[in-house]
Amino acid sequence: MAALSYRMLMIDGVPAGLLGLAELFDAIYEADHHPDDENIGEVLIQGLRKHNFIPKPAIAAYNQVIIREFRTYYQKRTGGSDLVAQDYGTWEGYPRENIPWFPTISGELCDGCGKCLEVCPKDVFTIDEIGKAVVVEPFLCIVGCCFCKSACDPGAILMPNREMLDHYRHGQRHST
Amino acid sequence: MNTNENGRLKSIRAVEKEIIDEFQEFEDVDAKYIHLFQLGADMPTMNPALKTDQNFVKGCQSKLWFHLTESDGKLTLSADSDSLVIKAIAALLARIVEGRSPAEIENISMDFIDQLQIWKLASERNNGLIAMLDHIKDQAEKMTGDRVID
Repeated sequence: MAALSYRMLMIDGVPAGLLGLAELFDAIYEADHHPDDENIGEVLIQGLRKHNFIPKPAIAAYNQVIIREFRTYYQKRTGGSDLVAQDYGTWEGYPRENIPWFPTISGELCDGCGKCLEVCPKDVFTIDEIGKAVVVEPFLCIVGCCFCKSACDPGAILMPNREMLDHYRHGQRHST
Repeated sequence: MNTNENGRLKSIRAVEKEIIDEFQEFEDVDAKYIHLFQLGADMPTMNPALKTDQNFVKGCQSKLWFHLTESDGKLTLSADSDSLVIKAIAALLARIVEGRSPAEIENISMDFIDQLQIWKLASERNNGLIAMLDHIKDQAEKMTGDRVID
């Protein structure tokens, strides 16, 4: 059996690794589901649960993100663009997903100006349905970059300390 | 160095163009950022005693200190920041400022940053960048004022 795809998404402010998301999207697209279907959330969660543990209290948060991602997928499919599996690459020899460097946003402070979307060259952010910036692709964030934080006038964006990266650099040095 | 083969100071626009050309050599945004970070990392360490309130750049969400010094009418900018990318931008500014007179600083703008293709936000909408430039210009203006008083 072929290995399932793996993708990290920000769910309710926490990075969550999901197995088989790409295959699930393929399957429900082929089954003629649409992002606006009334039961799309249920279909997606049911499919995700085949390979992932999703706690009941978190279903709404998962739904919010997964439906949005499926909508993006659907638009790409119907737009005819090629779909490729997300490859986050490596940083200093580590898989990018192993480096906890990404922004977190205070929903209370965010004024929805969208500057973070404009400043980020990697499409880490999107604006959610209530007009606030949210992190959708934490591991596309360029390790070491925090320009979004500098551009955020209300100070809603937090980034890890730069010193945290030294831990990974030193770890690699000792292991070689 | 900001001097040409005749030992004369290059114009601000010439240095900006050099920086733009330098970044155009990199194919993708990741490579551009690696280069940008390296510029920040290569910047000489700022004397911690210079991290004063006066040198602290207000209006930038990251911590940033600028210290402008003048020797024989020529300026040098030193900087430090808790953000590598901001320190890198400071390094670019330091390159442009190096060797100029305080009066010339008024002609510096951040427009060249838009052409580096490292982000999409126009520099004129980026309050952090505006604060950086304003701080340098204020310091340079004070130097010019001091000289007139002398």
